[in-house]
Amino acid sequence: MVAGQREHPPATWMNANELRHELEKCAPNLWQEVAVLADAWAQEIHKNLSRRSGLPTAFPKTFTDPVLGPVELFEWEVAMLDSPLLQRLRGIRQLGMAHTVYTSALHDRLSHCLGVVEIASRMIQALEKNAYYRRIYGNKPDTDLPLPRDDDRFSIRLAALLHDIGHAPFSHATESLAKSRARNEFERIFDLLRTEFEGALHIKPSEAIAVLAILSEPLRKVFEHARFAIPFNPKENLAQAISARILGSRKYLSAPYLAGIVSGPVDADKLDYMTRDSYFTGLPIGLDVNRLINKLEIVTITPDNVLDKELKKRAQEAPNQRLDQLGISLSGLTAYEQMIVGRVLLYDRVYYHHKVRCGEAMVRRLFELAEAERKRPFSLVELFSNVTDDAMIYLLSGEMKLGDLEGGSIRSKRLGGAIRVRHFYHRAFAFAERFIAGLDGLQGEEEANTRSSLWMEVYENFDEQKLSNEIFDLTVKLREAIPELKRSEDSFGPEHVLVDLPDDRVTVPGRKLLVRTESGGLTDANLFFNPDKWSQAYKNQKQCGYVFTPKEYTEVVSLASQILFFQKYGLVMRTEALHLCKVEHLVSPKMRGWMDAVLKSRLCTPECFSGLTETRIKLLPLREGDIRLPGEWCNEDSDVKRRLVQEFFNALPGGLVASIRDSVSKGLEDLCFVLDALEKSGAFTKDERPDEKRGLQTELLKLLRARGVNAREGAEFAGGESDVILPGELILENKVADVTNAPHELKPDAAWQARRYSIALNRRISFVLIAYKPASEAALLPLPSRVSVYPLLNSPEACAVVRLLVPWGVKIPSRAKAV
Amino acid sequence: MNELLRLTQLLYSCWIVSDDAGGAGKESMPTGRGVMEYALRDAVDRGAFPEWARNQLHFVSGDGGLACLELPLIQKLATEIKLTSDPNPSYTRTNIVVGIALARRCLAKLEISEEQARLWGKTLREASAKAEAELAVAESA
Repeated sequence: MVAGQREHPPATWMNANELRHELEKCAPNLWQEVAVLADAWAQEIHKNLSRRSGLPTAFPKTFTDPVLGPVELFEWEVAMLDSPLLQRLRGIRQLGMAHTVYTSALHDRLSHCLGVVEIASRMIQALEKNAYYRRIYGNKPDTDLPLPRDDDRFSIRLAALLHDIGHAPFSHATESLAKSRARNEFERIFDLLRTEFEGALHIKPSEAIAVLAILSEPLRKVFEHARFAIPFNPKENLAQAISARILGSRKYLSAPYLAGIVSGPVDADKLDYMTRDSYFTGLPIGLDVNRLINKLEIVTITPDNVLDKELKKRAQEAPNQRLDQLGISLSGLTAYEQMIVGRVLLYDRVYYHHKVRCGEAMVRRLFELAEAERKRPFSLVELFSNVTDDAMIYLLSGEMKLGDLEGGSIRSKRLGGAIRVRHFYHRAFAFAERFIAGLDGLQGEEEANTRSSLWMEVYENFDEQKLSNEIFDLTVKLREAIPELKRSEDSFGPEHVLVDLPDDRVTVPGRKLLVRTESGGLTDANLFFNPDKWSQAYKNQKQCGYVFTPKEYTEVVSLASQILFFQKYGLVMRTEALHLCKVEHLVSPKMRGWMDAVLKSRLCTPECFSGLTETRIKLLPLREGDIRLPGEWCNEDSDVKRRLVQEFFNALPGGLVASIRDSVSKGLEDLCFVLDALEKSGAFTKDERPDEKRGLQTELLKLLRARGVNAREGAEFAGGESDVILPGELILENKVADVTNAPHELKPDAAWQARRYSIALNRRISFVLIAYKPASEAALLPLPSRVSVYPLLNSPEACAVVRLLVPWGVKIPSRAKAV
Repeated sequence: MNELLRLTQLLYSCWIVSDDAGGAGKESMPTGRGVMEYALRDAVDRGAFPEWARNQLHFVSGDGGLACLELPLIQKLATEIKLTSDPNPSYTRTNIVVGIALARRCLAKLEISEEQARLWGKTLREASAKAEAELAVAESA
C-alpha cells in the first residue's frame, strides 16, 4: 500500500516463498530471531508427527473447558498443542496482573486459544447453516452463495489455535519492549502484510510475530509434513491462509464471509476472552454469546444495495458482481451492543483497575530495570523463553537463571519481591483533562481553547519513563528541603515512581460490521449505535493517568508531581484528583508547612506556590483589555492587540496567576511607551552603534524612570549579571546588534540568557530588547511590529519571551516624529 | 503519539481556520458513515496538506468500505484533547469546541501559515460536502 494513495491490490499475489523472501528482506533481524524460536518450537511437533500413526482416520480428542464445555481438537491440532509452540502459553496469564485483584483470574492464553477454536467452529457452523438456508429457502433461493469448504474450516481452526503464539510472558509489557527494539522493521512488516493480505487493517506486533512464525521455514516443514493430515490443498498455501485469518484479511477463502472469524469486529477471539474473563473474574457482563453467534449472517453486497462507493466498486469488479461478507441481522444488534458494553465494563472494572494498572506498570519497570542492571537489552528469543509469568518475575529479579537468560540484581530483586508478595504501589497523583483546575474564570471559547491547549501540552512529548524520572528527581530534592522528611538513608530509587497513562484500548473501532436494514439495503452498524463514540465517551469520563509510588512516599511524590505538572505544563488538578488518590490537599496545615519549605528552597516558583495552595486557583490569560499601547500604534495596526493576545496564548496557554499577569501587562505597557518615546526623540538616529550599557541601557532606564517605573539596574546572580529588573521581578535583557534584514531572528541567545535570570527569580516570562541597524527600508519595522511574544522552545518549563526591537542608525520617518 | 498529535492538530486547525462564519460551538464535523474517509482521501488526492501529513495517511478497502487507518485514531485523539465534543446523539457528527485562537496556536507550532491552512481546510470542507451529498443521493436512490 502506498501512503496517501488508494490501495490497489496487486495483480498477482506473492507465493509463500516470495512472501518469505520479502519478509526477510524488509525485517532481516526479526525474521532471523523468529526463525530461531520457530525452529525450537517445531522440533517437538516433528517428533509428535513421527510418533503418531494413522492420523487421517483418528478421532478428534476432547478437552473439557469450564467456560465452553467440550472442545474438540483434531490430531494435527493436537500435534501442535503438545509442543512448546502452544504449551509455552500455559502460565502466560490472559489477564496479566488482574489476579491480584480478582483472585481467580488465573486463566492463561492456552485455555483461551482452545476456547477460540471452539467459538470459531460454532461461528463457522452458524454461517454455514445461514448459507445453506439461503441456498434453499426464501422467495429467491441464492444458489450462487458458496458453502464453506474443508480448506476454510480447518485453516480457520488452526488460525484460532495459533493466533496468540506471538505473545510472551506479560504480553503487553513484552510486546511494547519487542516493538521498541525493532520499530522500523515492525513498521515495514505492517506495510508489507497490509499490502499482501488484502483487508488487514491494524496489525499488532504480537500478530506480526505470530505471522512471521507461521510463515517461517521450520513451520513450513511442519505444515507440509506428510503426516500433518489437515484437509487443505495445496498445502504450500496453508501458512498464508492461517496468516490471513489472524490478520483479518479476505484472502485465501472459498467462502469469503468467513474472513472475520478470528480477527474482525465480532470475532471468536473477543467472544472467548470476554466470556472467559467475565467467568474467572466473577464479573457478570450479560454477554449473550449464543444469540450473537446465531444472529451473525452473510450479507451480500451488490452494486445496487450498498451506499459506500468503495464497496460498490469492489462489488462491481467482483465475480458475479457480488461480495459475500460477515454481517449481523437487524435483530442481532442488541446482542452486539451488549458485547460492546460488556467490553467497556471489563476495561473499566478489570483491565484498567488501578491496582491492576499499578501491577502491570511495576512489571514493565522490572523489565527496564533488569535490562539496565544487566547492561544489555533482552532479545526477542529471551523474551519468548518458555517460562510462565511467575517464572519470568524470578528471572528478571535475578533470583533464577535459565540458560543464558540473566535478569537484574539488587534493585530488580527488591522490585520483583514486591510484585510477588503484592506490595503494590499506591496512587500519589491523578491527572486527566476533566481534573484541570483554575479555568473557572474563563468562559465559552476561551475556556475551551485553554483547556484543550493545556491538555495538549501533556500529550506532546509525553514519555512515561522521562516524566517518572523527573518526578523522582524532584522528590529527592524535596526530601532534602522539607525538614521532617530528612531521614536516615533509605532505598528510594527511580523505580519507586511510576507514571502510567494507558493507551486507549477501550474504544471500539467502529464502521466495520455491515447490517441489513428493513428495506434490504446494507449499511454500517453505526447508523443505529456508534460503538466507537459511545465507548470513547465512556472512557473520557472514567480514565486518567496515575503516578504510583510505595505507600511511605505517597505524600512527597504527590507534592513533587503537583509541582512538576504546574511548572512543566502549567496544570493544576482539582481536589477530586487528590481525593481519588487519598492524599492530602496542599492547603492542609501540614502540607502548607511543606510548601513553605519548598518555596524557601526555590524548588517551586511563587506562582506555583499560589497556584497550588490557593483553594480557588485562577490562571488568567492576557486579554486585549490588559494590553495598553500608544494610541498611534493601534491606529497604524488595528490588529496589534489581537496578535499579541494570540502570541501570549501560544507561549503560555494556561495564562499566569493574577499578580504576575498584572506585572507583565504593566511591563509591556511601559516598554512599548518607551519604544515610542525613543522613536520620537530620535535617540539612536546617528550612524553609530550604541553602547549596550552606557547608551541603550542608560537611555532605557531614564525613560522608564520618567514614567515612574521602579526599574533596577541588574544584579549579579545565576552566574551572570542581569541588565534591568522591572517591577514584579521581571527580567529585561538589552542587546545591540549589527546590520540586519531579519530583525526578528536576531540574538536568539539573549532569550536564553534572560530565561536563566528569570528562572533564578522564579519567573516564566522575560523581556528582551534588541537595538539593530536595518539593512533596508523593509527591515525598518513599523512600531507595532517591533513587539512580539514567543515561546522559548525546548525549554524544560513553559517559558515566554517578549521581544522588543529598536532601530539605530536610521533617520526618523516623518510620520513618527512628535507633533 | 507525537506524529498522530501533529496530524490531529493539522486537520482540525485547517478545518477551523477555513470556517468563515463558524467558531467554537457553532460548527460540527462529520464523524460517521465514511464521510470523512472519502473527504480526506479526496483532499489528499487534490494535494491538500503538507507532504509529511499526506505520507502518514493510509487508505485501504475495508469490509465496511473505504477505511483510513489513521482517521479513527485522529478522531479519538481530537476528542481526548478536547478539540471536539463527546459524541452528540446522532453519532454522525462531532462538535468543534475550540476556537480560532487555538487553531492558530497549533498552526504556529506546526510552522504552517494561516493562509495555507485556510486553503487546505476549504479543500477538506468541499470534499466533505461532496461526500455527504453523494451519500444523500445514494440513500434517496
